Amino acid sequence: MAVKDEKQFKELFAKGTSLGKVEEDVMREAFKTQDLWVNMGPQHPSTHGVLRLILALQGERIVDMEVVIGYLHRGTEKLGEFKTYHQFIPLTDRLDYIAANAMNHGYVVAVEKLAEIEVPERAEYIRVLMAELSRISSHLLWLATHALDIGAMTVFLYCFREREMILDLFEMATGGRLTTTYFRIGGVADDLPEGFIDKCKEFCEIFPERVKDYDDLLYKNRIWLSRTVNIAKISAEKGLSLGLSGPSIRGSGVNWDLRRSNPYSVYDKLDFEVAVFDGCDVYARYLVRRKEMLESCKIVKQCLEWLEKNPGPVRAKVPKVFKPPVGEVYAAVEAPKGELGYYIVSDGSTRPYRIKIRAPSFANLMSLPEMCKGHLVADVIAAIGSIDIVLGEVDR
Amino acid sequence: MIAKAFMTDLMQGLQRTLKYFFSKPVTVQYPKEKLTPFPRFRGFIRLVVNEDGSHKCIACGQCARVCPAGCITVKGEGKGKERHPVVFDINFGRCIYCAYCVEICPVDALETTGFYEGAEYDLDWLDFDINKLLEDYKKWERTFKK
Repeated sequence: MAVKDEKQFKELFAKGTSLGKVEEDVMREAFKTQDLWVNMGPQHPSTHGVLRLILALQGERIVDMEVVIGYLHRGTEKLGEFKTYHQFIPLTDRLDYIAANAMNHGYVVAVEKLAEIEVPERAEYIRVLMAELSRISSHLLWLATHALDIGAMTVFLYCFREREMILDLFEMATGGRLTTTYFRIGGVADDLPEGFIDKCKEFCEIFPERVKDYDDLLYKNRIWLSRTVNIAKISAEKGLSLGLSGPSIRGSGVNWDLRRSNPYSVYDKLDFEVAVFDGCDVYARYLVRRKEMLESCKIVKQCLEWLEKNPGPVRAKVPKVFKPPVGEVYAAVEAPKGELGYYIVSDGSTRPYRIKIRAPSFANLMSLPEMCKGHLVADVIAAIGSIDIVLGEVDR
Repeated sequence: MIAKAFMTDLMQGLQRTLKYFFSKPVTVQYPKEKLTPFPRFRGFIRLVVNEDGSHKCIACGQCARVCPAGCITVKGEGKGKERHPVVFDINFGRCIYCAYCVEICPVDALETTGFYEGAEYDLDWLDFDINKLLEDYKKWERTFKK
């Protein structure tokens, strides 16, 4: 409802009518109010790291917002210029530390494209398997913390129980729980260990059942719905122009998934659905990620079936120190957070001349002010959660 | 409307939590209980010796070159088969536990261990020299004093 002048405003106020989004200018005119600038973060539990937001408030409504980043800057891109192509892999783990495998994947795909290295098919399947497992684990962590921020603590505990199972699988195959460093240029470090496939199958059996646990607590829960539906809306057009990608843009009804639209690895041989919902709000993004977890579980099953039947080499012969041809390359993969791209310039030496990382969280963060304008302070927390950022990746 | 009045949406959730109320907890009470890491687990790195106690390491220095963090220092002595390390330091304060050194070693003189409790007040303690790298790491594992 648009309020025209002071008189109407006071009438409505006296009646106790819900005003909805009050026109800021009228508010300013009527009450001679000023914007209040409030600092949120960098040590705020709901910012999932060290994100700092400067909020301009009219009452409790957000008029403007500024995002301040750089508190976790480690200079990963610059460091890459002093490392050989192989030595950079452990650093990519530490970008989005929640889905380290996906970060590795983007990098190795880019280097292989640059140096024209053929990868054995089995290695590709293992890569996809690992990337999908980390997608599930990333979304589980997202659901856990997002629900915790909004006020549903129980989901947090259940999600971490399942995440633990995935981390155990990672530990079994790669040796690391968080920073896995499993992918190598030209394949993966080692073949899957004995017993891995059975354990992974067990997880795939259990997981869809466990998703029902989260559904019982959230899917129709009226508190959850009132905190998420119609909150932090962003249209598909606006989202695309701001570079929104991944589950966040699929929540606005854009069917754009790099696994389908620009298949890499063996995704063109796998059968899965792309989750698209057109609610444009926090709830739609929740639905997208929820469905994506189940779809990833399906992909994992297909990969396991293939891997059982087809033994073979998992690593092409690539020397530890090699010289790719002079040139530049951009390769992108669908990380759990969105489009993850690596732009590498090679001058023909053993080290990259320049590495630029197109981090999905960084690009997604730019649409946060757009989402939050006109909403309440409490909705900022829901909005931050819904775009699923990791500050290690934003600041690099 | 009836569904709203009886709060079926909330009851569904409470039913689920009640179900779990009677099941066993999945939490492992660290440090009272500990999980055994899987064989591939990349913990602290250890030097391996031959059966007669001599170093397997031939001080080729490949591990020092491949290390992304640059935390390994190797200096060797002797030529041919006699070559052995004199200085072999791993600074675990800088180590990122990628185990590239274990992967590249041509004589398998390095191995990963399941020891992971590297949180330490004394940074110098984390600077392992050639003798410390041969020790049994199990003795440093933290135990809970009752």
